[in-house]
Amino acid sequence: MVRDNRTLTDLGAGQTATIRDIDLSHPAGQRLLELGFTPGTPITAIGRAPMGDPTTFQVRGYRIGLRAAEARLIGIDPPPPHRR
Amino acid sequence: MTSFTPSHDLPQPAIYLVGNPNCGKTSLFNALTGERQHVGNWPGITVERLEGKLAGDQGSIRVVDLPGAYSLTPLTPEEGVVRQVLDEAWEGVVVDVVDATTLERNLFLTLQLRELGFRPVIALNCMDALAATGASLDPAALARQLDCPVFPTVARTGEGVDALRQALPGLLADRLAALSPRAASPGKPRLVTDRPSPWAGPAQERGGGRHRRRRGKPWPTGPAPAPALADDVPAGNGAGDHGGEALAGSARSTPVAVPTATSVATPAATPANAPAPPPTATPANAPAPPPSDPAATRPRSTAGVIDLPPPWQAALTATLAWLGHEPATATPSQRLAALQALVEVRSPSRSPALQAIQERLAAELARGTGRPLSVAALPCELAADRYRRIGEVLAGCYRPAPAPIDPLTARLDRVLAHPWWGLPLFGLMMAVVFWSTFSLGALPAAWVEEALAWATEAVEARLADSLLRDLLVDGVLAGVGGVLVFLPNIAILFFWLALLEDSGYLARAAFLMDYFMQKMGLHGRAFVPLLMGFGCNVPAILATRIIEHPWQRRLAMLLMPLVGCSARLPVLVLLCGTFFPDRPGTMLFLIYLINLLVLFAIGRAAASLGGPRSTGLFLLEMPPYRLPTWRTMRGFLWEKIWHFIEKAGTVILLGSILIWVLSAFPREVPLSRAYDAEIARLQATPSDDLGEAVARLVRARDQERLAGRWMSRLGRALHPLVAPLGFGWREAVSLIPGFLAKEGIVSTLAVLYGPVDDDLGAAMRQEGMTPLGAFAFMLFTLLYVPCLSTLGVLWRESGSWGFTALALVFPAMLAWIVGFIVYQGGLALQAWAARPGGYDLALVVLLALGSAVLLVRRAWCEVRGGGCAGCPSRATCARSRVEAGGSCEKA
Repeated sequence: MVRDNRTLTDLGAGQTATIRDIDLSHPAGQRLLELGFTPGTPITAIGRAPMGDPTTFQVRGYRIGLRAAEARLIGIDPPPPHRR
Repeated sequence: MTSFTPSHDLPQPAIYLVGNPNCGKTSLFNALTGERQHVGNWPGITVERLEGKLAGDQGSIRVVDLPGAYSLTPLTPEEGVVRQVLDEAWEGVVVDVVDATTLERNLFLTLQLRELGFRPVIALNCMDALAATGASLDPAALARQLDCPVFPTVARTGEGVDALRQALPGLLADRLAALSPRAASPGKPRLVTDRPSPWAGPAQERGGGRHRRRRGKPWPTGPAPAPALADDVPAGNGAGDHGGEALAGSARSTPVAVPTATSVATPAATPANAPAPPPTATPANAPAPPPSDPAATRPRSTAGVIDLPPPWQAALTATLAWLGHEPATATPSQRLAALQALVEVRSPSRSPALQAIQERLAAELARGTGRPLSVAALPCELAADRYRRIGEVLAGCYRPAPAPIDPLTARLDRVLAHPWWGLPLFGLMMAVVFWSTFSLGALPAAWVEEALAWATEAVEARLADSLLRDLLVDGVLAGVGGVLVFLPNIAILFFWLALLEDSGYLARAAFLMDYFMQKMGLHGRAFVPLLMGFGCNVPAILATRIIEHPWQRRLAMLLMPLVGCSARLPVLVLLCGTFFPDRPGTMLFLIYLINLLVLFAIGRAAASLGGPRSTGLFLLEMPPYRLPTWRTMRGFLWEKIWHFIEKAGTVILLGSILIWVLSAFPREVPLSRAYDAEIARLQATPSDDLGEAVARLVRARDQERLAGRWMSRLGRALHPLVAPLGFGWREAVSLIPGFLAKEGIVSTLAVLYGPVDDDLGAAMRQEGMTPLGAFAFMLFTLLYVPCLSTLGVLWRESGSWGFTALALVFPAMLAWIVGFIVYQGGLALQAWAARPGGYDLALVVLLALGSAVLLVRRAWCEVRGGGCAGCPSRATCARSRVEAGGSCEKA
């Protein structure tokens, strides 16, 4: 299987995907895990701020703003075809 | 709880409030203690521990409010505070405040606490909001699942808080009883299982009623798990079970009050509308299966669900042993450290022994799931396992809302956080805030003015012409009164701040402004301290503690005194109203806009001077919007108003008296003309314009006298310094007391320009102050030095004299430069700007330029396509993803 390098930064506003993995080399990774960004969790990009960064995401029933630097730590699987 | 006396030297027992940021801890704290701590719909309001006394219990029980934490693994300083008090909290009762609207995430912390052996009392907060979303939650079932007492509350309205408050003394007493060596029976074997029991043995006197809770205050919920616990957990690891004994004990001693599962569900079923659900289980709804009958309360507690799975448990015990702690008696912080060591997989230099434990654990877990698992994936596995357990806990008691997010929040966010409309709307809101601060404040300000004029007349009528009368009229009433007039404006400004904060909009504002904060090299979290600075700089500087990075924190602290706090508002309102009578609100808004631009420019410059590129972790939770309650806003407003009045009565009063003394002595000043003789001569010969002529002479005489007094000598000495900025000597002098408190500027001007019944603004105009000079003076006032209290906090927080000196000198220089540019530049442009509508034109041009820049850049991103591919923030968006060994993958 070809490794997919898509991360949350690739998720357009309104799109939903599933979290595949978290980069733990950055301390933020651990915190994101604790906030519920665990593999397999669906996540939706809600909208970007005026200058394109940060972005609001919706995960586990709440909304959180992440800068691209943090969103990049989260790898996603493309949404299943029927979800789109 | 006089029946209990601790038998060994413990710190005074306390109740500790923990929970996620913005879950309502401080609201609950206020409700429990009757204090008025600042709360807001914004994560991170509380940055250090707050203490109070539990209301209604003779003030003997401490309540500690801790900063919000998502997890016990500290990432920010304020989360570290929570960790530090873990061991202390072990000897008290931990109240875990859980926001019912984000249950999954909030329960993560609960689960961590349970893993460390705590048995927190759950305050299930925001039950009204949960009900509004259409979700449903059964607190009794949750209590059973978590094996913890659960109290549904709505801390903002105080609903359900009484039940919790009344239960806490009993819970605490029982907890202490469980810890007490008197209750220990060393002969019993300890269970080395999931619960540590460091200090205590079993609580033998469960049914004895020695620590019986007071009659008539039964437990509203949570007793269901208690008997089960009492049965399945042998006495021996009771230390972690505070509350359990309490419930069991109460069940046996006062059976009539024991609610059953049915009665427990009653308050929970109507969380939103029940006015403080009566905790008393009446016999009608409590058909009381005898709680002493264990069979009645089985099925057993599902404690197994929430505990660490066996492989983790074994690894934790091994890690504790490796760290040199006795697993059975390890303190919570030791257990936490062990758990952290267990998932510390990144350090290549970690001990081989630890690596062996980790490898064994990974192998064990892999065997359990039947898929390969690397050591690197352990942290991920632990978090995922916790969420899995949370899912199991919730499966039996929670039905999620039909919509994944509150529909109102979703709708409002579509507009307020819109990439295009968001910022203009934010600007519009700010404009409304400053406009109304000015215009709505005018009417009540007129009342205050009338009251002062009346007081002045009363004093003048009752006292003969004397030094005392002068002191009262020209010093106290003019100075203090001159400041009190602005009370309505300040109240309105704080009303808006409270409204914005309580509604949850501030998080959106921070979201919208984050780009600019990034450009300033500041964390997005710094935005809210900056915004708070508009209220008062002192708490804003304290609030910069939420910025982890020291450099960034210093920068934020340096910028903070440049934020135009409400104490500067009187100067601005006075001068805007006097010199720009057509457009006072617009001018006020413009001043604040310039303030923001200056902040941005300084931050930007500082960032380019070599601040760190990385701006730290940015996690900005967007709380759901909610209707602000008068209850929360009232306390906040009243505190601010009272603070203002207090200041007027102390610092401003003393300053005014001092200024009056300086401007009233020496009493005798040689005059160039015999004014008094001339006035007497005029009055002797009646004429039409007698009054006017006399007034002119009186004024000229007073001016000449004032010119001879100490104050004006000082003023003339200082004047050359600020003359290039267009200020008169009175303005120069007024800046000195402004260092004590910024309101002092207005009170000084009021004293120097004469008593309050004169129009201060008119007097200033008469003395040659121009609109341009006033404009420069406003900007200078906004920037020039931090007030004394701010400086004190800066020193305390930075711990550095050098930094404090910098924070004093830098703004002064900046203010002078800005004032010079504005005044001299303005003089050059005067011909152009003085045309009718010139100021409006300038404002429009400025706004248009600003938005044009933003819109063009934004449009550029859109035109280029590909999301942020062409975006100016591309540098921070680099797609280079580090495929480090630490990343954990889903199989």
